Amino acid sequence: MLKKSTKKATVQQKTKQNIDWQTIYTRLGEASARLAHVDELSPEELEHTWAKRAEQVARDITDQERGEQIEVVVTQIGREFYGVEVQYVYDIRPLLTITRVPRVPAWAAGVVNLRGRIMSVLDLAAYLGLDEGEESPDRRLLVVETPNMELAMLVDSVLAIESIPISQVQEAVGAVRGIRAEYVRGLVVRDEGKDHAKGAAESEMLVILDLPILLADPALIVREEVA
Amino acid sequence: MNALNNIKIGVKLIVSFIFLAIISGVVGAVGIVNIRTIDDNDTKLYQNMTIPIEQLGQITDHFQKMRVAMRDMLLATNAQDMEKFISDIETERGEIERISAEFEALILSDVMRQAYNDFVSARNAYRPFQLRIVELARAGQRDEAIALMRGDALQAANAEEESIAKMLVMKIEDAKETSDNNTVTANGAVNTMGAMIAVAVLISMVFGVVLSNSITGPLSRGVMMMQELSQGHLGDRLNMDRKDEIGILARAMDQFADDLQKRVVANIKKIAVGDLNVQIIAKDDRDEISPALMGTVQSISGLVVEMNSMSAQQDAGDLDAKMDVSHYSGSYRIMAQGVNDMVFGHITVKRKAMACVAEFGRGNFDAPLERFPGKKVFINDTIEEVRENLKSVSAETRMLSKAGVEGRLSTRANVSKFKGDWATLVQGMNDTLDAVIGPLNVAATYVDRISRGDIPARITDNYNGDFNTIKNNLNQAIDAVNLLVADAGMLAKAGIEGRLATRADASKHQGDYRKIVQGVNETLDSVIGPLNVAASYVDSIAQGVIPPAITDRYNGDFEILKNNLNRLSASLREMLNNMDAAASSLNSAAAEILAATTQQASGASEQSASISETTTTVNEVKVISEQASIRAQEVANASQKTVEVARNGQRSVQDTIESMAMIKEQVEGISENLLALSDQTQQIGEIIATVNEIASQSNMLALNASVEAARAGEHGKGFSVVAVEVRSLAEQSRNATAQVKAILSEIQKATNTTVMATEEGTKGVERGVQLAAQAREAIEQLSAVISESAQIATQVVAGGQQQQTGMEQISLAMSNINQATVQSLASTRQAEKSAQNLNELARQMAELVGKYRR
Repeated sequence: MLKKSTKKATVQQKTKQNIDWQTIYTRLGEASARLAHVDELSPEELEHTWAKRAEQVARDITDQERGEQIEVVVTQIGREFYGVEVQYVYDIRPLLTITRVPRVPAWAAGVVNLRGRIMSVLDLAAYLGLDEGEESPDRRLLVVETPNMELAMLVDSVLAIESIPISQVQEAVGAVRGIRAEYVRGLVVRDEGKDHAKGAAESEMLVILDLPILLADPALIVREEVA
Repeated sequence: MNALNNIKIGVKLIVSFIFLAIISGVVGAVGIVNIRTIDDNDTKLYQNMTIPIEQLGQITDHFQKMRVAMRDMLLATNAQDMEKFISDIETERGEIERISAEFEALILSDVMRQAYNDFVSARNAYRPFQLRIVELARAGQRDEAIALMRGDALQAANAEEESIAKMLVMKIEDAKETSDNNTVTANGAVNTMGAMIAVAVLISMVFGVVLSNSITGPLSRGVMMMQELSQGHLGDRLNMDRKDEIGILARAMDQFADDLQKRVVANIKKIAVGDLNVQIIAKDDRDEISPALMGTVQSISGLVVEMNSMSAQQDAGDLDAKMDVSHYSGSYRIMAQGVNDMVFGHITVKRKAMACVAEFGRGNFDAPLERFPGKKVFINDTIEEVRENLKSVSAETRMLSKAGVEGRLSTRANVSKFKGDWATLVQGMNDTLDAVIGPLNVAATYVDRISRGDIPARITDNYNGDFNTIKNNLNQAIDAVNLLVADAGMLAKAGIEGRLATRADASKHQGDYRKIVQGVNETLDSVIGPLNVAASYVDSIAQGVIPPAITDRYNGDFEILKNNLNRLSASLREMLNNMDAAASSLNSAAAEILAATTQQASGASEQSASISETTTTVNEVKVISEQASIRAQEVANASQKTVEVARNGQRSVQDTIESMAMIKEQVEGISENLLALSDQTQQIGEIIATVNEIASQSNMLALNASVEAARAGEHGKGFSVVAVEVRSLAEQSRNATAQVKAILSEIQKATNTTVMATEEGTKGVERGVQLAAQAREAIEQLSAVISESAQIATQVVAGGQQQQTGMEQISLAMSNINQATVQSLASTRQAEKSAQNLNELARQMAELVGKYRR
């Protein structure tokens, strides 16, 4: 008899431990209320966005007032940043299937078909003798054109197009990262905190390549003639 | 909610997942459509804006080259070089024509068409100047050509250049406008996607919660009811109106509880109160409850019928009747065997007691009787008391007969040693002795007087039987002697008077008396001499005194006379002695017989009293036995009831186990559906990956737009900002998809947790099944013990009934014994009367004989 009553008490306890559905319903109601208004910005957020845009526009004006600027396509090779002046770039493409060409140097990655145009691919890292690093998932082909040359350059990623005041561009003295000084149009030292500087804790250096001179390298031309 | 309850669980789950899949598909489809729209807009931007801008640049380029070629032509020193430059001019001119034609094909707006027409007219205006300059150059009129080139031709060339620049500006403005439209479209797409993903997530969660609640709640109620049922509380019902599988399960459980309460338990209660008129029809071939119940009823009914049959046969006197044990098995068999053993035990005791009483009837008072166990010893006590009384009476009878033989007629039996009819019997013996000895004394006195010659008067009192014969004989003797005396007197008187001729009439006498008279007469006739002697002799005899033999010697006839007289007296003496002895032995024999019969009569009376006492005792025992039987029946009924309750519990536990198994299957179905939900989530993840890829491509297109804007120089400034915004939007799309992916991962984790919880539930149900199995085992053990006690109680009942029957039979037997004893007593009384008559005869004879003196 004693055993029986104990058993009954246990059963009641179990019943009490059942799920508190009321609380769950309340929480679900709150969640759905939040979801219903998730696409509407609050007045504060709107205010913030407008303020940010206003600041952006204002800064652009300030930059313009500061003097002449150059437009640079900022690319990343390995962990380093290289800039190409925008007037030499006329297309940025995802990395398509590269058709390899036999008996060419390592920096000649092959040829690609870009909207019906057959174009040589230059592995910039290999050509400049840079650390290749790990293969990036968003490798890009930078289609460039100089008076002497038209080809596609293989880079690890394209980060942004930036306007840089000429006053910030410093002249290269001697070789930079093993690149001959004549290939370098200038250096820009940038502060940390720029939105595309992923994971870089300290100030980084952007090397702006002098593309006409780089692509006018006789070695490149000779090779092309041979090919 | 009710409508939801009425839908089958499977349908609910399928509809939910189909609905979720449709939502996922819609979200993906909208995303794809939006991305495609953005892509189309970008392509349009490229095709309609960027390419024309490039074409205008090329036109400018070729225009400048053409002018350079014209200048070089004018600077050429020989005709060959001049012709080469003229060819160059025409080539560049052709290029401009070709590119212009391409550009014209892409013109969209009328304003642009107007600008292009201006450009064509400007070009057409410049063309004559050019042809003229070439012509002048060929003609060698270099100065006129240079003057023309620097004059009117320069003005026309500048007009053409300006028209090209104007078109370029217009194109860039168009591009900016298109890019703004693209931004609006992309914003709309992002907002739509965000809202749809949020709605999809919300609906998924709501569906999960509602479904889970609609299944778990009723199930826990069902589990509660099963726990109640397992405790034997049959009153609870679920009363669910749902039409899904849980509703069906609930109704099945209610139906089961109704069935258990109204059909099974009600019938068990009927059986428990002894109403075996129970009809339970099996629901189908696999119904185990109804056949088990009917089997119980049939077993008990069979046992009752068999016991009634045995009881009837025993009542009818068939003491060998018994239950057929082979019809039963197990405890029923033990019980039937126990009833048989008990009945035959009682009959055996009865037979042994009756054998002993029969031995008493045959006169063997020392017949042995074994000692019976327990309360049956009262039979021993009763029979031993009868034996003791019979032996005492026997001893007293022996003592009296011995005293009678020894002539101690005053000896009497000690009545105070006996009680009741036994005392009456002994007193009767004493009275019989008193009755016999009175007449004997009278007879003795008469005989004594006769022997002394004092002839008494005739006995006029009336005596019975043999005593009357004795009286008559004595009177005859008195008459005979008186007659003889009279005759002798008469002869004597005649002799005295001398009248010797006088003779006595011999014919008046009989037997020897006649011979005496004749002899006297003859003697008188023949002898006168010894007449006196003879006369005195005879006289003496006549006076009742038998004289001694005549010793004097006589001669002749007198000698003969003397011898005759002597012989007469001798024979007379011998005759009297013989008579005396006969009377004496007759007397003693009669006394002996009388004593014996009296004693026997007294003994029989006492026995009769003892038997009455025994009969009363047997009746009391019978009443006690009936009460014991009723009590035992109550115990048996209570035990039967308990057994049925235990069987109920057993069945309830079994049903609980089956229901738990069903619940387990349902829960397994739920976990499979959760797996399907998990797969759907993964598919949404794949769609998100596609959206991510599209965002990446948008990013790149924005980069290209930025490049184009930058190349366009100052005019592309606005477009550049737009391109940056588009790229930013692409980045945000990417971040948003990353967040969606994270949320999907959370949903996947939640699904995993739910599956684990479901598994825990399944394990709980399994534990419940194990506990129920243990409970069933315990109830089975309990049931076995109770069954055993129920059977033992039933055996006690049957034994009590048999004991009752046995007691009734003993009572009947005692009544028979009593009747036999009464009959025996009557016979003994008759024998006693005969003995008294015989005694009286002996007394009379003795009296007759006693009259003579010898």
